[in-house]
Amino acid sequence: MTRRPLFRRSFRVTDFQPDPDRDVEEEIAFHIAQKKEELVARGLDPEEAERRAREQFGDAGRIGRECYDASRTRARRRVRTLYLQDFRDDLRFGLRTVFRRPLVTLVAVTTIAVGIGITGVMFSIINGTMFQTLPFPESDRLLDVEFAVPEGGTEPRVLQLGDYCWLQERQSVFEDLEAFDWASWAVSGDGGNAAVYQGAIVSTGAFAALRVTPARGRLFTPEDSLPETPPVMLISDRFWHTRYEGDPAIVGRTVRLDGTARTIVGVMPPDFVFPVNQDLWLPLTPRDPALLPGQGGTVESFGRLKEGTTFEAARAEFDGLVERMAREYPQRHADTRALIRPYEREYVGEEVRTVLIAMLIATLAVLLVACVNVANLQLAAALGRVREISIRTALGAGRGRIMRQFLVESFLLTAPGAALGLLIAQVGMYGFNLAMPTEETPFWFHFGVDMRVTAYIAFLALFTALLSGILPAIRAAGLDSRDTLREESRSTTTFRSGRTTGRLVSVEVALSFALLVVAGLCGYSMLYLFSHDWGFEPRKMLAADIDLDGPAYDDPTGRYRIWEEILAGVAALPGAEEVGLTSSLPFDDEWEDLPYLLEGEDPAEVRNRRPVMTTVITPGTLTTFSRAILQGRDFSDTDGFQDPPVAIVTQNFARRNFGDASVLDRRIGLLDVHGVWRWYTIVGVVPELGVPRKDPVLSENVLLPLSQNRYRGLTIAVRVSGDPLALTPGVRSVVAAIDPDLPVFNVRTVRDQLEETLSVFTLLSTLFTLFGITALLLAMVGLYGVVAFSVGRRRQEIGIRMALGAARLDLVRLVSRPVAVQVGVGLLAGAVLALLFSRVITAILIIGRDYALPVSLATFGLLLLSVLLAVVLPLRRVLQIDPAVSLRTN
Amino acid sequence: MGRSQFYVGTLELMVLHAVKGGPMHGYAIGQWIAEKSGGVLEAEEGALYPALHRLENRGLVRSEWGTTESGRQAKFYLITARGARHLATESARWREHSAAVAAVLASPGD
Repeated sequence: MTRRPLFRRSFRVTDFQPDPDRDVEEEIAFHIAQKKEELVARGLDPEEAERRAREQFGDAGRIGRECYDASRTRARRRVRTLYLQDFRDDLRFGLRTVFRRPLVTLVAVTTIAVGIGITGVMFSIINGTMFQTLPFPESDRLLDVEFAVPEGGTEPRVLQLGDYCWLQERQSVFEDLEAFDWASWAVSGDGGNAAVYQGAIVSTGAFAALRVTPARGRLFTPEDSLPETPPVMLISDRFWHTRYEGDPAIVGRTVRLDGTARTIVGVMPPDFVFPVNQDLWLPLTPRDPALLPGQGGTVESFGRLKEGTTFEAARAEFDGLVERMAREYPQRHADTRALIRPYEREYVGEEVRTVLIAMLIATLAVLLVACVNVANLQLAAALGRVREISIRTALGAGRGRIMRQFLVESFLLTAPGAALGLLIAQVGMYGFNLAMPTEETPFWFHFGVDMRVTAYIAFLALFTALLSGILPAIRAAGLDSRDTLREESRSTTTFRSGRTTGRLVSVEVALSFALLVVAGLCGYSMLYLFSHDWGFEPRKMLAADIDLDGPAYDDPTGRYRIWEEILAGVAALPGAEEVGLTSSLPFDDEWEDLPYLLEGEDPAEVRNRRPVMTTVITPGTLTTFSRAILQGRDFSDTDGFQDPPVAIVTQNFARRNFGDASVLDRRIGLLDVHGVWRWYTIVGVVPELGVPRKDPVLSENVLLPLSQNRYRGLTIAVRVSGDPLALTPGVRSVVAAIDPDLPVFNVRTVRDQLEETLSVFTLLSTLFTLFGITALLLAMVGLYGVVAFSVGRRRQEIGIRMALGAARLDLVRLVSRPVAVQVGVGLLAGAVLALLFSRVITAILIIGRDYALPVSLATFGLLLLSVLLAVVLPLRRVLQIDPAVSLRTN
Repeated sequence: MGRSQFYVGTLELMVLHAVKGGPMHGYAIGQWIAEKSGGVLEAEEGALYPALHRLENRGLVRSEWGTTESGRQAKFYLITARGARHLATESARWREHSAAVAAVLASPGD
């Protein structure tokens, strides 16, 4: 078939369509006529000839039907081919249009790419955390067992060993109730350097419940948990390779963990680093008959549902069990409720989920801004095509055909945009993986652009194409061809896109305002944290962890002497100014939460009170962190094990619980892990230790002296005059002189620690700031386009007004008034949106909503400035219009 | 009416061969087959027209309306490139086949 010229094909009126039924009828009629003619020629009279011809032809109806069927199939096929051919033509015509305006195309494609790219990044993050399942068989039958969020709390409570034992004995829905506890051990006695590894103490059936089998050796057996059985351990494939270079004779080898000799009985398969990123596993010994609910250390608990049992059944049984436990042990469990969730759920907290989803919505908002921009661009471009469209309509192209042409063009812009967006998402996830701290990321999390993300992006691309194309398509299809062709000079005003683009501008401004407020809140709190005056210079402080684990350090008095020895040794190092020990640095999240009681209070009455965050320090720790004693005294060497327990409280704690009254010599009770209240006399008051938090409870703390508390693992903090890390060998040698098997690990400056603690938060803040700025840039581009478009459209009108003597300033006002209204509406709607967004986002911000107003105002200023810039630049053209020229052009 | 698969295939082959020589309408095709077979084969209309439409569906012939010598409007069938190719391979196969059948029938029976 010869190809008709593109123009003819694109502007084709309707093609000739044969009617399949008539076609067949006529063919048969011709045959009969021909036959009759032949018979007449042979001498038959016409009537007889007609009858014979018909008779001979047979059942015309049946033959006809057979032919109709075939003929109709062909006709249908033909319509389809025509449609596809039209589509191909649309595509070719669209490609031409798109390439004829390279700048518009470039802006549109980039806009879509950015919009799709960032929402792709965000979706990948959500996909990586929330949509991943444990890589174990039937992992959906693994459930996490916890206690529900207590009233006034934020996170669910984990079980204590006593709770676990009690529940394990009574439950029937799980194959068995399993438990594990986080731990770390100093590994030595195997020829390698003493080093600390993360591990977990697991119930002996835990791995069988996960359905993993060891790569070498065996799993734990119930006997392994008995005290009289020789100590055993399991190691990860990673540990086996890095520390023992994959030594084949690994099973049976003996290693010292915290000084205790243990036999390696098995190596787990590659990539198994349960529960999160652990290398060593020891059997849990749960059966302490003396432990009752509410007693013992905390454990994480989970189980695999028995065959034929459902999630609902498990939930119902544990609701009942925990209710009973609450009745029987009201002192600790009065308001405790069970919380049964899919295992993975525990690792993505509700707050994080909320924030992630809020962020996804934010990125979708950016994409929406991008769509609005592209729609505006196409509307503006359609203006220049009024004649083309009119001609096509006049030549018989239907509305559907015109709409299709516009949608096809929109797809042509979206497809490369989406491809580029996919690339942006990939690059973004590469960066994300670099920035993400891996140690605390559960092993089944996977951040990357996988099939699900690609499908998401493809779906969004379709959505984007429709969203950005439908409006221009409808507008274009609604053109009245007669008007435009007749009144050529008025052609531009016929295209009534002004109101539509105006609404789109309002949407754009609103979305970017809301996003920018959130970004501002994030950015501000980030800046605040890093520039916060801690009272000390985090860069000039060294922190290192030391664990006095093992039987040699079981005696608490002896252990305290060792701590003193280490302190004295480090203090004597050249460059060390101040030195102290603490169980948690001021801003990390490892403070211990303990329920507390004031004198005269009934424990039952205050059981709903938020626990207090406590930490253990030594005399000198406060000085090291430049915290002055406001009242009373620091801890001293005289606060020994035999002396009455003492405590120092922060100012906020004192104020909340004692008001303005003096707190010195008042007593507070703290509930220890055995469920026993222990009473402490307050001997001093200090200012806050950590970051001023949005939640005041977080800065209400109780500090306890190491000399009266049994801690094995502590962090040493040293204020150094020179380079803090240069002090590391000195600290190591001090510790090695006491016991070469004692590891000094996690050596870092306090600044490093700060960055690490805030890393996830920093990452989220950075992302949000990025989203906000992107939205602003997109909105500016969009606004610029709309104003430039409107100036161009009214060029002639302005020229006339000028010629009639209108002042230029009035003309500027004329053009800018509708824009100002649109922006105003956008800002108003944006303020409402911003309020909603900031409510969600402050959930993760460390600083509070007190900053929301100044940040909003600042954002408002920034936005106004950007809006002005985007509006003023094209408006200048109004002043440059020459009436003579603008009137002549038409 | 012996409309076996065999006959249908053969009829189509003959139709294709007929239009190979130039555009022809259905009536002429029937005449042509009768004439060439010495009157032995008479293409019945009941089989001929459906066969033509089937061939057109398969893209082996195409049709267009035209005027006969006597000035009547008739639907003419033309062979397509695909039809010509099909005719070549199928008629070769047919010859081979019929020769084989002939050889079998010519051999003395046991």
